[in-house]
Amino acid sequence: MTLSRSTGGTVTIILFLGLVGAFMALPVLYTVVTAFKPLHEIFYWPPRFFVREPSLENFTMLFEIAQEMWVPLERYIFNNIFVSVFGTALYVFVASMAAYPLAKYKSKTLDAVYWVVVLAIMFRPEVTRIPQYVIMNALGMVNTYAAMIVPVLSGSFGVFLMRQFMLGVPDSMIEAARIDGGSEYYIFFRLIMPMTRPAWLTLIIFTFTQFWNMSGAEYIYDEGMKSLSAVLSQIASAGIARAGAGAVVALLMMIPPYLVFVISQSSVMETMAHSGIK
Amino acid sequence: MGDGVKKLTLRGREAVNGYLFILPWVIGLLLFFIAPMIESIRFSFAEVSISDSGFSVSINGIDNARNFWENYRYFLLADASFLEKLRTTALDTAAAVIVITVFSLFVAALLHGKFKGRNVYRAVFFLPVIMTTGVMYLLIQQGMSGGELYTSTSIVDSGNAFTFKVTSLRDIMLQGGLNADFVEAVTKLVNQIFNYVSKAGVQILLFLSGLAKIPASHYEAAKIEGANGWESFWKITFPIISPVIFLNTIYTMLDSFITYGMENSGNVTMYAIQQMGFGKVMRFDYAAAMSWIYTLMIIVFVLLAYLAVGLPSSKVTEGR
Repeated sequence: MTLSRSTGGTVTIILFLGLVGAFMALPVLYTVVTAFKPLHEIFYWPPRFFVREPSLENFTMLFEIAQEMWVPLERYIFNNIFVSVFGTALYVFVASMAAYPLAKYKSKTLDAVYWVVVLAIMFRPEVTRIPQYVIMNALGMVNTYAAMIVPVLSGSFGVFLMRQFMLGVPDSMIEAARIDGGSEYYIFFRLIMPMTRPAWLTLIIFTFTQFWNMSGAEYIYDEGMKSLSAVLSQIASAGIARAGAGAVVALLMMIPPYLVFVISQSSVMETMAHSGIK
Repeated sequence: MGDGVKKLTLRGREAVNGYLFILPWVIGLLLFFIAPMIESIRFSFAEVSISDSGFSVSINGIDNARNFWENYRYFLLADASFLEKLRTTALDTAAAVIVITVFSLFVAALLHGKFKGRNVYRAVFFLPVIMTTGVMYLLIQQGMSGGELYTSTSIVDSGNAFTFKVTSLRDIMLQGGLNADFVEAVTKLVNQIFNYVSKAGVQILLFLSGLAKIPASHYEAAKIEGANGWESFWKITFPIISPVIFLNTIYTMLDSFITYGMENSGNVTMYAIQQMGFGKVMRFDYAAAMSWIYTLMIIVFVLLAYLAVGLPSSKVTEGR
């Protein structure tokens, strides 16, 4: 979209975005500030937004709590990273593959499948939670990493998202590739995926965030298999004395999804720069 | 879609290849969506009782003497509070869809333009996406509202007094000596704006991905032809991103329908279902019936969205 390039216009835009952006940044800023507040300042009355004497007290406290646990914290961190990275890669791949025929083939069966996709995203997981557990138990997936990864793979939002973006790939390009003798796999990997790069980079962000924050407490009993979020919410919920540690937990949990966001968004912008050259 | 694609895909092997693409996902869907869904339909027409050995399901009218539709009858006719909750949720969602979709398209269009500090702004607008999930959501909710805990069996028990809820924006303003009514009004307005703005992160990002696909040459050509910003928005941007507008409408709608609420605020219907199935009562049969009534309402909403946005946008994409 081309906006007026006048200085006045730019200033208005920045002011507007700044105002709205402040709304979004405030709670995060608050979390950061609280993480550095010593305990007596957290409960200070009247409350203050900013920290007066920043300290690392809360970080030390969290570290001490972690030391007392009989499973080392590294183990939980590994669990979270493994499930998030592997799960995200798998889901983005499975969803994109499923979206391609839904967007670019014409068949009555696929039309029906598309409606199932739409129906499935309307459905809340609450109802299916118990039957789903029964099925996972029967497949021997309870208490394994698969319990956290596999159910997510059947999610339909990613398929719906990728399909919407694949609709924008011109049919003429696919036809040209077919006439040149390109197989369907060639078309998918060399044409469709590069052209929908902004879409799947965005999907990576959503999926990673979902996996990263997943607790999985219903499916995992083994202490050494638990996710970081499950363990950290246990730590944070252990009472008033842990309030500071809770803020640190929130701060630390925020960082990895944010890194994924920054990396993939800069990649999206790179794509934009290239499309501008054409 | 052009005829060419159709003819080519009908050539046997190619079509089979196409179906192989969709197979891995369909298997997952059958196991973890279709099968549990059918099971929940069965629950909704049964009496489910929990015992030490698991739970037993007796179908209404077949295994017991109850009316086949008993669970549904209860919520549609006997218990008026559930219908009232549905109405509240429906109105909230309609408002959210309109405000958030328009707002996020507007912000995305601004962020798409070239200006200094664009990357910083983009980063800020993504913050809510991280905040509104998982542990973060829990912590922020309490920090901002300063109110009671949201209860969920899977996350944190409500018994615990918790984290930084003592310090809320409201307390800070009241301590600053401001008029209580004024503070109340400001807090309400701020909460409402924050509520909408914080839910727009995903939509803004999706619009940005949609806008990223539009070649700059389109706008250059339009500019040379003498089109202004307004015209090039409606003639270029709008048709190309209309599938994304539809995607976002659906996303916002469903996001609003599936987020958890509390007893009196947020999504009250979800709270009621959650409490029925996983709270102290543990009535899966009732929860299943409530969910199905709710799902049917959501389906009606989505169909309306299809009629309003979906049909014109699919025409646009097929025309190219």
